[in-house]
Amino acid sequence: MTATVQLSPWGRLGRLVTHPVVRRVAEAVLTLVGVSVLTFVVLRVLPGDQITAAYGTDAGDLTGAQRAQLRAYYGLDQPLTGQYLSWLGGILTGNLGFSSNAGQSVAHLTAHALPVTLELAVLAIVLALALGVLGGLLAASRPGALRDGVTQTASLLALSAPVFLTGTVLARVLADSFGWNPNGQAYAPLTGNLPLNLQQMVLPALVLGVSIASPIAQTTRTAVLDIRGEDFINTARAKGVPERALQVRHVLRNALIPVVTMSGLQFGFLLGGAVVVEQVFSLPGIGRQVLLGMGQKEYAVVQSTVLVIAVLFVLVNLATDLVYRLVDPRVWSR
Amino acid sequence: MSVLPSQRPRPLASAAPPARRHPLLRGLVRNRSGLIGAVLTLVVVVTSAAGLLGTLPYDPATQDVSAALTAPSGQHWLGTDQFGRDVFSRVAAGLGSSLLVAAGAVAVSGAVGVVLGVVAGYFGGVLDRVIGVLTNVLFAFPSLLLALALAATLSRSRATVALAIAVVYAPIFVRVARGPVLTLRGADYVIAATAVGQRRLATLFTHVLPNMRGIVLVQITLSLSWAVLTEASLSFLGFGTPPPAASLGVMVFDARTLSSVAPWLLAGPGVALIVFVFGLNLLGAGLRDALDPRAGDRR
Repeated sequence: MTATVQLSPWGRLGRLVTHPVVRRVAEAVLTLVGVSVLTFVVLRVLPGDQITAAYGTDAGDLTGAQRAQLRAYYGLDQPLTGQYLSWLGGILTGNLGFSSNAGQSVAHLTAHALPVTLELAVLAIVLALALGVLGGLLAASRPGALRDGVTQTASLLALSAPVFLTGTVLARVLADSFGWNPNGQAYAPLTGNLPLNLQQMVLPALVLGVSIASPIAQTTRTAVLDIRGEDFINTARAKGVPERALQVRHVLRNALIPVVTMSGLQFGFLLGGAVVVEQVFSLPGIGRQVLLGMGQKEYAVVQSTVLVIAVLFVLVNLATDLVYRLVDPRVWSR
Repeated sequence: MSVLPSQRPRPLASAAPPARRHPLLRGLVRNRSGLIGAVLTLVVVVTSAAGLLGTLPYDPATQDVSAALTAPSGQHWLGTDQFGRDVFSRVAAGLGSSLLVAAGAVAVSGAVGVVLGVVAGYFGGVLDRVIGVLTNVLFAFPSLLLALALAATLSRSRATVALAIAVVYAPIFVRVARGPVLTLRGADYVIAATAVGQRRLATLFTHVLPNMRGIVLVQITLSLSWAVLTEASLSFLGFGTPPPAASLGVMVFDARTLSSVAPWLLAGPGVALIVFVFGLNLLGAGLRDALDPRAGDRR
């Protein structure tokens, strides 16, 4: 176990395999395989086959021979494992399928929709961090006082309001009372019309940001109170570190570690919420792509897009975890 | 299993004064937010019971075009919609529907999740690994997206919506149950019980499971609030409770275009939804504090 012991190549390999980062990455890969299997099973096997998906109600008029030909054409006569592997092979080489309604490949659609959702997600996280950290600090500044109670109640209330409701109410009130309805116009890309793009993004980002600000505020509050009671804070205070510097450099910096983790964990919720918010505010993001695919029964679109979102989520969680290990060396010793 | 009753420390509990019999209830009543949450939840449950039993001022589906879009009044507490249907009755029916779906979803996900979590935590080994991978895979999907994909795939009914939500929330119960089991498994009194010869399964039922009731109860309350939110979101997106049943999510969706003429169409279901979820969240937080008084000043 000690560093001075000379390790054989096998021993070195063993140590590498049991290295926390390697294990965490392997776990993520295993999860991704599971995700692909689940997506495949849920969205290919359950809703009938692609023939029904492609021909809709007309599928009932097909003769047995036509059906058999189509089954062979789509590869549905192959065993399931073969179908899965060929589908996975396609995905890995960038073939996400084709949307007959849009007349374009799903990869092309996703390449246009993903930046919209990512912009929304980044803006929402920034707003959530601003609101959440400030709220958490306010609550922690006097635990049990009025400001603590008000912040906690507000945060619980924000947690209780569904995104589709706050989004709808906010959009309607601003449109009805102030005539401000930027999302009534066609979507302006970030690189096209920046002022209009930001106007169209601010409300959805705010709604999403508020919805994930509560857990961030709670985490900030708990972390600040925990760290304030640590020995090293007393030590620093005893050594004469000024109170302001103590709160910022010693308390806040350490408290932000769990806050960063919490923000990463909320990313998945953000992607789920984006489906709703993009629908409410007519943003052509990846969530809307899923919904449109579901409405038009285009399973190739739904399947690939859901997979893209899940992969994104797994990778963000992995990155959060690795960043967490980087900024907090204590985790290594686990 | 047969040795269970005799080994339970029953005499101690029954010897305690009656006031201490329900420490959880007492803690909840003393905790202000928990009490408010309990009252709000009770109000919502009574209203939804009226919706489910059909004892409402109006039939939620009956149209009366002569009374279309009337503002809230003594006759129609929350006004009427564009078809002249009574909004209060529809909100109550929608609450009932939400409650049914949410309760069904949480019952299924709680039962399956807790069993799997206890098995994983108590017996460990390969079972733990397999359950862990399954949990991770389900956690890899944003919860609303997974529920949406499942609900859209299955045929639309209340039961399938509940099932879709159950699949999404089961892994949370797995994690919630597994953690404390791992801790309790190593607790001195559990080791002692095994050391004096109690069988492992018996120890699980006498010493481990009773100590997890609180955590699971809190999780059930909080999960109910999420399930209500998820059901409403799915309905709003058009993949939830199918028509003609009244649903809060659908009501909000339909009210969008009429909000300038009839804001009460948005306010009624919206406020009902927030009160429902807020009440459950407060109740959950109150229960958590009542179970762990130390958490009160830190959380």
